Amino acid sequence: MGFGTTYNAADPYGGSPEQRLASAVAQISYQTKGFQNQYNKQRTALGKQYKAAIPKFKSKYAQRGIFDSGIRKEGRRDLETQRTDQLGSYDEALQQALYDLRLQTLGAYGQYSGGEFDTALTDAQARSQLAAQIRGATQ
Amino acid sequence: MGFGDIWDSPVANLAKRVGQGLASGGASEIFRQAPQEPIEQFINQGIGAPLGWGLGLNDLSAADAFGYWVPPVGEAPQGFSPRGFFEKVADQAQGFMGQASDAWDSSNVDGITDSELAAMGITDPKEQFAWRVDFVTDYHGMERIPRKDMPDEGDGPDGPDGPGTPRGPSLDDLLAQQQQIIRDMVARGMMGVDEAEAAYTQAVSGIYADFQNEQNITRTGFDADVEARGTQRAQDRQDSMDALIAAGVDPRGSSGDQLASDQAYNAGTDAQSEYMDALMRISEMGEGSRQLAGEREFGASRRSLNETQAQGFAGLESQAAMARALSGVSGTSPADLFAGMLSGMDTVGMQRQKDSAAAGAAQDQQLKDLAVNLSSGPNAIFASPGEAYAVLTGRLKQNSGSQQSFNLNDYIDEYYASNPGLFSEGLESISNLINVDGLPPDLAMFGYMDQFDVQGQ
Repeated sequence: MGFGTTYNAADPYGGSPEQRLASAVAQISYQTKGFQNQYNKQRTALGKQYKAAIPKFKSKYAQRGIFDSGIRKEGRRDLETQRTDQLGSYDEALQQALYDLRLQTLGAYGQYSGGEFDTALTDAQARSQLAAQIRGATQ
Repeated sequence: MGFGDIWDSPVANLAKRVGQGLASGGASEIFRQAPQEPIEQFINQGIGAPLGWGLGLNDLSAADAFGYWVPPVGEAPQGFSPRGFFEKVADQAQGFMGQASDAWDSSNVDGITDSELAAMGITDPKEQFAWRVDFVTDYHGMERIPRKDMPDEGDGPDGPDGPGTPRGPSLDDLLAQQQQIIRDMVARGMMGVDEAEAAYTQAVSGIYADFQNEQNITRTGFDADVEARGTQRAQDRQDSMDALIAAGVDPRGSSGDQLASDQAYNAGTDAQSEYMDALMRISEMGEGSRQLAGEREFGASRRSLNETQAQGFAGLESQAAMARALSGVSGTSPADLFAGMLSGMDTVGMQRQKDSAAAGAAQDQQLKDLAVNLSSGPNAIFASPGEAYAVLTGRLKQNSGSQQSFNLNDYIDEYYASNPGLFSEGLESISNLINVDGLPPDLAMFGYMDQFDVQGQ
């Protein structure tokens, strides 16, 4: 990702480095919301599955006459563990996605600032060298 | 001029005649009476004006010349005809007067009439005279006559020693001025470099501050993400334990698995945090590199300026040294030579022109002195110095037609008859040329007259 220091009048969405940075940041923001929406959908879907699984879980152990047993309790703990693990995987995936987008944000600002640094140095070099050129006026 | 021309020249003819007179042994054979003409007539034909200017220009009888001057407008020739003597003497005068009369003629100041000056608002004769003097002076690039309101700078230690040259700054002054110019330009260049560095520093600082701000925002956002995920996970854990308790299940049995899951998750976020911190530290290292880049660039420009100043000073001092060395050869002052080197002007040539003009002026002064001699005393040939000067400078020939003949020999005889002392001196000199130097009589006379032309006037 590079924003450069040039201007491109032919691109209405990326004519200037600032425009290109803003476009990149907007895209990152859009992706962030997309990942969050996906995360919420996943959690919602898991919640539905969990709600649907609890009655089935109860009836299965009740039908077998082992509702009040250590086996059911172990199965129940497994069920909760699976749910929290699944939720945890959603959190981890979202965190990783958000982190990647944070890095992209840093990269975008880094590229933009690098272009600005380059422009500042180039301008300073030109000014400095011009200021140092007095030979033509003295000889 | 070839030898034949010389031999037929008036001076040579004069020498021949004197030689013949010497051979015959009597001055009476040489001296004859010459007719006199009213010389004022030619002045009234309009040629008195340039004559007057010429005299005034050379500070000789300017008032007298103005007294003779009559405006040329509407004046018709009065029938005056120049005499052969005037024409021939004028030819000779024109020959060795050379530059003085040429300077006047080439300026074309003769063509500027009094009525034209009056149209310019200059009506006073003295002002007109001053205007014409300035005109000729400007035309030839000569040094103006110092005026009271113009301070005399005087000669410096390196001031010119040439003829007639009021002096400006000395070589040391010029060198110091040029060095100061370079010093000022270098100082301005340094200021430009300083300004460029300040602008760069300000720009980089602003950019880096913005970048740091965005980094911090991102870092804070990351922390918020981790915290939010942690809060969500804790809530999920609590919901799960609540659900187990509600189901009559001891939740402690699953705490080990959940703890291991949390540790793995937190390890991941810790790594993310460390990597992000590393990126931020790297960006801070980049800030130091940018400062170094700026110092390298601006330091190079400053060194370039210092080098330029040193080279400029060395070049100027070298030129000054050459100017001092060449001054003795060229006869031009070191300051003028140095100024010529800087400006590309041929100051040596200019000096030669000025020297030639000064020499012409000196010759002109000799002519004026001769004009005074020829128009003073009981044996004066001319009625006034102005008339004599006009004849000697050849203006009579230029401004009048020949209607009467005149015998050159008669005038020469008359002149020597009226100056017996000069004649005796001439005889002695000619005798020495013949007897001591072994010259034939004709050449001895020619040599004597040539000496007279150059030195005796």
